Amino acid sequence: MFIHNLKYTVKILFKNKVLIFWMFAFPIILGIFFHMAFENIEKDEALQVFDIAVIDNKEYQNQTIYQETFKELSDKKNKDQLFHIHYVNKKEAEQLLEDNEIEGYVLFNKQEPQIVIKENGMEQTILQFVMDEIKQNKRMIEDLTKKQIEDEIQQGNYNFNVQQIVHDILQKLNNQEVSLKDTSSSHLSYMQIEYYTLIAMACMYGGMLGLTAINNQLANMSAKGKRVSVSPNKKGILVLSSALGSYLVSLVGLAILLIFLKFGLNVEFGSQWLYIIILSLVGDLAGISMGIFIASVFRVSEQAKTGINIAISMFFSVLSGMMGVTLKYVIDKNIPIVNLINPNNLITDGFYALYYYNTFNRYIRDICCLGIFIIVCLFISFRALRREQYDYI
Amino acid sequence: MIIFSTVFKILNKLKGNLILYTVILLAITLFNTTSGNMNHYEATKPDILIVNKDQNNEITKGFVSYLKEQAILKDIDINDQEKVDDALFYRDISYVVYIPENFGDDLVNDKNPTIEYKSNGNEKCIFYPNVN
Repeated sequence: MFIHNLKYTVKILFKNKVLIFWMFAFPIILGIFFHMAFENIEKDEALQVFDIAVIDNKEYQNQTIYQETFKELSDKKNKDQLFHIHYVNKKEAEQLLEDNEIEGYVLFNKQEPQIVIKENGMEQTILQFVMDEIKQNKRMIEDLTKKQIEDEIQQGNYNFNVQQIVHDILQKLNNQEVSLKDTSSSHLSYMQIEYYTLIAMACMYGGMLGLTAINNQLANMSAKGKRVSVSPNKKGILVLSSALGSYLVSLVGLAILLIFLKFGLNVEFGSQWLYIIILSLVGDLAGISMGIFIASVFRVSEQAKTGINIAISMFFSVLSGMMGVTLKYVIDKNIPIVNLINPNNLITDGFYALYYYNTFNRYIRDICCLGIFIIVCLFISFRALRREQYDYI
Repeated sequence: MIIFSTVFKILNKLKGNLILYTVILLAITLFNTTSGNMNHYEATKPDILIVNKDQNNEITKGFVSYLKEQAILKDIDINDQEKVDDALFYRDISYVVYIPENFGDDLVNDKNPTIEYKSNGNEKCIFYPNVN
């Protein structure tokens, strides 16, 4: 009987076109839209070479250090190229600034460089930083050279090579630099979270399959349920096989979604495929459990149950960061307990932990919380379904 | 004529809404035009965290106060590594600077200390530590 009911549950669910659309096609369509909308959002973070202007006047011609530095920083062959420099006169520079062609221009007036900008921003701050840095280094080199020459003269040595002294000082300054070591993770794309919430949503939508399968067993929900109820079969076997059938169907949908995300949209999951599959299995089971819970606890019409399921899963999706990953972070940071009982967030967070963290602590915590969620849902459902009797339907 | 006067009656009934939307429109226009005007330079500062293991050194203190001038220090528990990593990932902070022990002394004694940093991949902000 178990196999028989399992087989027909799967068949009936696959023939339910509306459910199959929401379970199989909807997450994929949403994923495509996410991809279209967010593909370029992170490119904005890359530091692009930006345009500035330098007023090419007499004062500038005397500034060898600035000239050399600008030449270096605007060299197209240099991988650290920072600026694209227009050498123009003041009037042209003002026009360029007005037309937003450049971020700002540098004007040399009596030795001191001035920066003229139109609005504050990251590029303008970088320009200011570069100018300060050149000024500081210039002064440092000049002071040190002066001191060195004075020392030489004091020692009675008039036969020195200024070029050599400057060279030595530069060497010394370069050697003294504090070395920086970048220990950042290479997995920093926060847009991946959006796709993880999509998987979580698909898992929760799997709940609708569980809900439908259980409704088919309930005498007060459908004619099919009435017939099933009066049959001499054990209720437990019927319910379990229906639940398992819906689980299998939703796993097919989830597998298609995962394959599509990985190979169609190139979503990054990290490399721990075994853990990803375990998380998907557990996550999907959480969705099914929630569907069973709603089907058995709420005594309302089928449409109302579906509505409740969608409303709850959408609400959980929002909290887990589907409409902006910042919300997930804010909740994680301020009221973590909310995200620990939210199955959508636990699934999303599990994928995030596998993607970003090298350790498994967080992943294991998420799996455990999901396990507790599943046990609680199923326990309450079975309590509600046990020994159900109807005087009148 | 009936329709003509009715239009005004309706408008009169809806005057609350009309005034509300006009005021909102004007306020937004005003806000946009005033915020567009800029008359002083202000540096755009990234949000950062400093994990300092060299607390009692004057040079390190100087370095930290320099960083504080150039960036905004966020209030995040630096002892909880997970919170720091989360903050980086969700762009709450742009980078974390780890100052090693004996940083100040090593710097004076020409030992070339290494400062480790973690960034969130926002190149505009990474530019800061590199310049410094």
